[in-house]
Amino acid sequence: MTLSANVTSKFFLRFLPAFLCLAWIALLAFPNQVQSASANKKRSAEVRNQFTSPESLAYPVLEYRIPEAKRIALDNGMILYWLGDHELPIIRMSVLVRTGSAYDPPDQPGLAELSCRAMRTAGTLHWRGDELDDQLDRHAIHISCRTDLELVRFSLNTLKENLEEAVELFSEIMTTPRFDPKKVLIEKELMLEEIRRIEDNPQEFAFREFRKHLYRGNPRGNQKSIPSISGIQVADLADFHHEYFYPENMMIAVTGDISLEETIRVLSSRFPSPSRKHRIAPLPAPDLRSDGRVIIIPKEIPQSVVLAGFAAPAKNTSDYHAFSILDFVLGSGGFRSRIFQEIRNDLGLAYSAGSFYSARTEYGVLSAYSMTKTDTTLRVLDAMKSIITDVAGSLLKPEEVRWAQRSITNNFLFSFANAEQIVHQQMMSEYEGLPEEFLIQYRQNIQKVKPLEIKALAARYLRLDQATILILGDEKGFDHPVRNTGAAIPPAH
Amino acid sequence: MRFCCKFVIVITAFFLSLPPLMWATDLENRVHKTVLSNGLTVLILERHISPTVALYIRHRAGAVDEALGETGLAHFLEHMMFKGTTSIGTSDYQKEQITLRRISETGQAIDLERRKGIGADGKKISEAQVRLDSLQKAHRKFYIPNEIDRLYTESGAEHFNATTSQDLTSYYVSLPSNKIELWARIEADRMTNPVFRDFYVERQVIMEERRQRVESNPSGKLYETFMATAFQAHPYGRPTLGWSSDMSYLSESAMEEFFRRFYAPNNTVIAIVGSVDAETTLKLVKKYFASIPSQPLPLPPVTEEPQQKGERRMTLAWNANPRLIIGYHKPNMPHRDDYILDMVESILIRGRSSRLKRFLIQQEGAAESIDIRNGLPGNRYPNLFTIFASPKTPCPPETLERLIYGEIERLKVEEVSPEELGKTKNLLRADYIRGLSSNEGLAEKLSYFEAMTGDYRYMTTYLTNMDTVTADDIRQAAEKYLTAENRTVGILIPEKSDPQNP
Repeated sequence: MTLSANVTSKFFLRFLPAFLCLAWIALLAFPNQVQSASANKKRSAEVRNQFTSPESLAYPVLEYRIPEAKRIALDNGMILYWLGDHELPIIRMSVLVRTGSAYDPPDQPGLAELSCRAMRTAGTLHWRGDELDDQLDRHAIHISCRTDLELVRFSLNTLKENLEEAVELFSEIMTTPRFDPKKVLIEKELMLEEIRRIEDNPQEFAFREFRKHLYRGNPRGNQKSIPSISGIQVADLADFHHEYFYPENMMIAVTGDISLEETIRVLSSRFPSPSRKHRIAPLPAPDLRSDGRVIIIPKEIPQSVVLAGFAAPAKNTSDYHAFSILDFVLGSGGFRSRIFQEIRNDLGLAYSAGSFYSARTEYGVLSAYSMTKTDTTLRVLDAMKSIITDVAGSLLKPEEVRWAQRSITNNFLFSFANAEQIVHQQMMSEYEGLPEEFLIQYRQNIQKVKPLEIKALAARYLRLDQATILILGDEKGFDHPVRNTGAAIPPAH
Repeated sequence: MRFCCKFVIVITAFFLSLPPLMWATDLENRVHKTVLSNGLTVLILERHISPTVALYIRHRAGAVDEALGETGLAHFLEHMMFKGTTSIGTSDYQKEQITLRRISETGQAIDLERRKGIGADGKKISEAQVRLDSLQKAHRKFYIPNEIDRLYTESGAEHFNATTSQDLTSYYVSLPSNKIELWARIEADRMTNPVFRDFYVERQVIMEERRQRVESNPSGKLYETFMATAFQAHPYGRPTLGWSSDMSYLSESAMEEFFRRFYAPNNTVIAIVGSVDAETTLKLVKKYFASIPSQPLPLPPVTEEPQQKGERRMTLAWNANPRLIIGYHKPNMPHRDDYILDMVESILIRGRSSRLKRFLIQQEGAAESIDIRNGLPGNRYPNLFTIFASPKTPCPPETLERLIYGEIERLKVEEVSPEELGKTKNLLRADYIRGLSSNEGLAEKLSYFEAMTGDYRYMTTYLTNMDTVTADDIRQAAEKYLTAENRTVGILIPEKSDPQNP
């Protein structure tokens, strides 16, 4: 039995896109309510026979301070965030590059992803792809890449004893990729196979189509396809690399068993500055308003995926905190949230149901989801709409808002539970262009929100007549025909 | 600097570069293990990195313990453990009980009538269903749903969840470290006084879960059918979620019985890892859990899987891209051969330079993905060395299968070189160290191995044991277990895309 346990989890979170982490900082101190000795004795006697109310429990003071990562502008223009952590002999590095699949040229969706994968696998100046893999495995060095919509991340995890080797290979991958045509072809073929297999998985399929429609007319909606990937040439990958991988366009986070001085030393001259700098055109903000008509993606499966998407406030706005609470109450706050409680607990019509709020620098999206058997598909859509209408039209109960506020602020410290997380929060905050006080004031801003504020936002954004609504499922078996269907964007293959 | 300097670094460094094996022994020495008088095993590990704590409860209760016709009960019970207790989630338990009893009676009557099959009285059922719906509505008067979740969430809980496997049912949560008493209060209560509210509604929810994980999911469906083929007698052949027919008849009485027998403290392990004081924490655990009475330990299932004496094959026709699963019967942990097959697993798929990844994906271009899990679907009983592979178009699944067997044969005739064995051991060592870096990971592993083997030191002695594996061991294990007669193969093949023109 290997040391990774395999279990089936109660909540199906696999399909949720990666949240941009909410970043909060505060000094937490709970009121000191340590009880007297006699009260404790009484309580022990009670517990033997019955349990006292959980509300009557008193907790010791929790006092802690969150360490702060150090920020340095390196000579080559890269921004470094560092925080030491000497518990284990491990060093982690994470390079963020300002690019992503949203930056793909209109006729080449998938370019960023293929380029990044090929940077990792198709060799470097000094090492062919297989040789590089041999080296990394010999030293148990992990290097991986991840391409998101508006972010590319290269990650390194190494034992301290292999630091020099690891950083050398890590930086070579990003500065002098080989793009060996044979290896590039393999990555291409793997991506094509993955694209073929998306439709096998209902949630992946549904979310891909959903994003296509949500971001219609915007680069973010342009999805990689078999023709688009097939048409990419090695020269295109090199162009991509040249366009985006230069120090001023990169940030690096370093944590682990390494000092700041050693970090600067080991990184020096690894990421040389190019002779020419580029200006990357900003992405156009999407227009997320649709017409509320239901887009149907037919698939013969016994369970439908029901999705609804709405425009939402951007992260760097005063509405962000209130809207976060709204989303929490609506469907991301676990069991007690409206969508979960009503559709799953009350009606028994879904196992997965809820919402999530993706707030980016220039825009935000609120998505609501449910998965239900075929013949209750429209009933669930109606239930989702009715919950959303209710939330949009009435004041949230004060206890609901308080529950959300307490939960969010008390959970806050889990975003700073280790050095890697702390550095990530700070670095992402800068990457997203948030103001300096954003993290420090997050908690207070959450606490300040009033139900009236939330109501105004809900009325403004939760417009069903402007929502993107999509159902993936076996249309023939729906509880009744859909009355107002919208035109689906045809597949690219 | 982006933040003003009122923050001070308080991370205390316990470890400064100890050699890797010292990590293991040091970990062993740092775990406080106590067995309470009622048989509850408690593991506590102090780790002062952040003011948080991970709390894991594992009951030795899984799908493997279910009776025939009651598959899915352990998992359904897990769901029902979230519905509150006699004191949590109710405004008046005395009054509520009356409605709950009537819901039980009505639900049972419906089930009994349904079980008549063709002879069932449809009118009787629908009338009873109407009564049930109105009783469930009436119940809402007393029921405060999701109170356990509210209490945890408001306290800032993270990773609040539960899982059921063939072997274990686990309940876990991470909390700010000053909230441990909340956890003790809730968990001791729900280990003693759970109330299975909304039983008939939640029975529909688990059906939706099945639809999501299996009936709409080609990989899920293949896995389920494969396991049922590999195990012809032993309960490991049954799905943890349950067969849907069984699920639709799961009864409250069966659930209560299962709960009483299996959730006993002497069948339970607790692991607490984080910024806690071991002594104070143990006192707290004792305060809440020590008075829960132990139960006679449930008897393990008697059915053994007879030795497989010939290849088994199954195909699943499904509208999806092909994929395959291959499994070989083998002993479970902590048998020495299980360690050896862990090594085989790593040699074959750990790292991009591993044999199967390089050969099948990079060199032959036959596979889109290849993975191995040594030890499915559970580890209490003999299990399977399981290979998962997806062919890359245009490679047919049978060709991929053949290529995999070629590599397996190599293991029997060529000794693994010292370099390759050394590389693999090094990869395992590094991943072990990586696994020590979170409260949740530590609590998960410590509680798992304690519950499964009776000794959490399986984890801390793992690397030492793996270090003893030789090239000859590998060859012998491959010869003994990775044979055609001992394998089961499941292949998903696309069904005809146009049903009108087969």
